[in-house]
Amino acid sequence: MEKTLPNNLKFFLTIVLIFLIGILLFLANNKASEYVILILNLMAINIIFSVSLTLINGITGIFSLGHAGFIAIGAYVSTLLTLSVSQKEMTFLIKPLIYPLNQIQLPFLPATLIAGLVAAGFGYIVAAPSLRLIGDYLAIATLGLGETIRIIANNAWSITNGALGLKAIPPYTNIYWSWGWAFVTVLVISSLVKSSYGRALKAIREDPIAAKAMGINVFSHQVVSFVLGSLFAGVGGALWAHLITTIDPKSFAFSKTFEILIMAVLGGLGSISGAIIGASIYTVGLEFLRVLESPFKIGFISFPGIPGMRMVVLSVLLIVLMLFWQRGIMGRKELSWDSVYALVAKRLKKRGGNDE
Amino acid sequence: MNEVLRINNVTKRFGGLVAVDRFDGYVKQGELLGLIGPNGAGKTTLFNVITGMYAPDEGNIVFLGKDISGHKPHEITRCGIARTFQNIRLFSDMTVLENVMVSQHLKLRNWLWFFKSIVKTPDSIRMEKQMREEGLRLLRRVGLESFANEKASSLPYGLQRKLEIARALATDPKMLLLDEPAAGMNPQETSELMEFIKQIRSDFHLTIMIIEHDMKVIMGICERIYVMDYGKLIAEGNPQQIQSNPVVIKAYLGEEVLL
Repeated sequence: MEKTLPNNLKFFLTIVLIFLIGILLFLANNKASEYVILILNLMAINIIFSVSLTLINGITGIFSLGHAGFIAIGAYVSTLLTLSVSQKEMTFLIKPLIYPLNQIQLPFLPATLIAGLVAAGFGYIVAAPSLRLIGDYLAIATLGLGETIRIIANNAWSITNGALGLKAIPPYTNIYWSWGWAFVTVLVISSLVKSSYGRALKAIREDPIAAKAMGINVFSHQVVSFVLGSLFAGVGGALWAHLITTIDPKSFAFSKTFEILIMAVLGGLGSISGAIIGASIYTVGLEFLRVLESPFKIGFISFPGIPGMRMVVLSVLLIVLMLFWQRGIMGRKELSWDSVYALVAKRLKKRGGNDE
Repeated sequence: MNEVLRINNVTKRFGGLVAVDRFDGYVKQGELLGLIGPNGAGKTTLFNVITGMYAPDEGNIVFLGKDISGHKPHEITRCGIARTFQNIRLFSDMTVLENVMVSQHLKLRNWLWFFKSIVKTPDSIRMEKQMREEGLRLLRRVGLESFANEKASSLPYGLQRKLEIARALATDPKMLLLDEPAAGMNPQETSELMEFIKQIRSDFHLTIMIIEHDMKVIMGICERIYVMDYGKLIAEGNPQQIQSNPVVIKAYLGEEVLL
């Protein structure tokens, strides 16, 4: 018999948890080093990326590999809106920036919102043709799409400043922006997944033909999921650009999509809480593995630091993880207060059993 | 009795193969109609044409006075035709209750509900609760309520078949198309299924069309039978007429048997 907690208590616990996270972030913002703050920001942005990819890939079952493209759109659009007019003149040396963009400067919030909406608009435009494909073909089409956006960014000198990229982006992203948006992303997407629409999306993942026969408009649901995922990818891209403060087309290569896919798969493709866990572990883990790249000594022998070593170790760790946890850490399950409670109850019961 | 479904001269071709060849037929209100024929006769293709999975190349299909040929599958389901599949197609990673609740998604007719269910407005919460209750009520009626929170794939085979029918019923259909519901069942399960089909017909005021190879099922519950061979309708009649029809025997067993 599964035990469930009353809804009021769950709501209360959630509020307390959010409050605690808020306090921790506030403390970190005031006390922690800049390095830790940077990692915390990256963690939040990676959560946005992996949760939005999970909606598309894990919940709806559209195997999309074009996430980096939408991140690029979000990053470029927001940057072009927040850079000051004089900075734009200084940056665009080879070809001047086209008209309306070279005259405007917006605050961070509207720039982020517009970035998200433009990414969503692109998502809508590309979803219609590419969602007519299925499986591997869809994956290749979206992969090509992501690369197309990168190559456009590389060549549209009068909009993106080509391969030189954009520099001196105002560092607007702080803990509150990044975690605030991460919170909104998780809230919106998990609220959607829990609703009837979420069930419909999962049904499409399980069996599109049966979903059609049950009265679900498979195509329009897939498009909506894709557009919503792109929207948050765009927002995340905007935050990322204003954290790193310099972007160029190379930052949005296929490896970016792959990185996010690793986070989502690590946490369990199809689980929102898994995506959060995956993104956190990946971000923090990568930093811990930095030790491997610095010179170290074992006994008499000293090893020089090998750059890139942490990626080798990370790959091995991922392979081992996938061998033992084939569906990621969470699988398709969600972490809920009920499951935490069940786990604790089981532990207590076990201990009680041992005492006898 | 009035007609629910009329199939007018429907033809469906796949390249050079004529899967359904000028099929003419009708289904009466409340009827239990059987559709039989040797393998590859075009029975499932006819189902796929009726449910909108394929558009007919010629002819049309009229359901309750409305021409539905060429409509999309989800539109036809919303008109009131639900179906099951020859090879079970459950949403296997979802629970039994969720499977049934998915079929009620068609109640949310416009995209305003999409925003409502993200923001969780009071009426979307009410709708969700209503779907859950209705899903549970349906599971109770078909006797699956004790499995409500089990994964669909964990059910035994016979119950998976039953769940597929329950899931189709959750779309609130006027007509139900069953594609080989007794395939792979043992005699005990088959006779339970026959009772079940008769039961749901009267409980839900359904018109049922059924494809089946198990003649015990067809002869036991159907009031009228269509026989197909090579895409064509070759015979029509009640079970007794069909059993003694030489054309049918020829289609199934070959010419020599009659000599």
